[in-house]
Amino acid sequence: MDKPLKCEQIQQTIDEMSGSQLQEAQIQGPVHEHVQVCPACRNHLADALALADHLDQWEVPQAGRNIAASVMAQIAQWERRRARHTPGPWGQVTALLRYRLQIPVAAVVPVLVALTVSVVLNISRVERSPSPQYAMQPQPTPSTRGADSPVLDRQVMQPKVVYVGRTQDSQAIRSFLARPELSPSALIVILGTPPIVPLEPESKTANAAVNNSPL
Amino acid sequence: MQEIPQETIERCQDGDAGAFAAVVERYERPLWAYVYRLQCTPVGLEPEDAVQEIFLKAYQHIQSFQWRPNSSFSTWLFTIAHNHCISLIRRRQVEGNRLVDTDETYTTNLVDHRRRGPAEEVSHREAAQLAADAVGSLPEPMRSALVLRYYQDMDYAAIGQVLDCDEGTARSRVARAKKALARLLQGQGKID
Repeated sequence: MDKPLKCEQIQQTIDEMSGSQLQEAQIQGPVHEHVQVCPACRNHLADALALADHLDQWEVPQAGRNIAASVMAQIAQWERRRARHTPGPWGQVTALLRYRLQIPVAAVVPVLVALTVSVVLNISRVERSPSPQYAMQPQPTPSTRGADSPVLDRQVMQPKVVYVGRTQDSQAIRSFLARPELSPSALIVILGTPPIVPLEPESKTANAAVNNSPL
Repeated sequence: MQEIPQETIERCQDGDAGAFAAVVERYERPLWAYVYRLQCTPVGLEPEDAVQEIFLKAYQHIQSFQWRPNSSFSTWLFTIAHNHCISLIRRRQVEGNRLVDTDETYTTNLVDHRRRGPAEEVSHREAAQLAADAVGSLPEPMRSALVLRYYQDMDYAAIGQVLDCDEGTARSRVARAKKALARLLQGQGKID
């Protein structure tokens, strides 16, 4: 009863042997002992050796040229081409994401799109604010300025109470953004803008305006 | 297969093109043998050209190689080689070439022929041609699996990674390739 199983194991061992292992001199130990007494496994080994012998006949010649030198010349040429076409900022960002941070660019693009959309919507929302009753969510900072004055100063970087009106505020924001010294941080101001909430929630006008808001 | 030191690969990844010369030196021969035995190059393209293209691709994408517990640089390189060869085989099929085109292409300039006598040389050349034809007649997944296992001495796990299949599939492809070859050679009376 054991013999078939053992033959199976022996034949499997023979089949597992690859080129360098499949030589008559290499067949030792249990396989060698078994094939001495088992004709079926002896035939199996003989077939495997014959096949290996045939495959061994197919030798690989030397390459027709110096591959290493050609490869290194091609690499040098490619490096020169690459140096001429240094990637722009976008290329450098994608290379940084892809290779150093291992973040696929495809995952970053939706985030950038979402950020852009949120900026645009924030701007339009500010412009569509119906009345001075609406304000950016205020931080409880006392302001000495008049409630209707559209003030955006440098300290708005941490949004303080900024009352916005339909026309005046958009102009104020535009003029604020136009200040050359504020160019990078201007976006932060917009992005950091908290949601618009009515100062007087009981006001019907206010509720209607909130309900109609596309946001 | 003997691996190249990790430090060399890291130098390549840091942009040291000179370090890549060591990679080429280490893997030139195995890659050349693999491309040659797959018989994948279409008319107008030498196996040497294919090997060069493989090395160039590897250099261009070396940043994407990462050291992991169950993967090696040689497996990564052979995966690039295999994919490149597959695209060449497809190109060859599209161009209408015979896949088995070994006449004076894959068996010339055989090593050692100076050591044999004329009769022995003819016999050896015929045997080599027979083996080349037999391997070339195998359908593609089986052919690659056999060449990687038999000629490159790769283990089944690595073959699975190169061929993008699991270890069991790689094992079964090699076994089927051997059976197909045995049948073919038995049919020609070359083995019993």
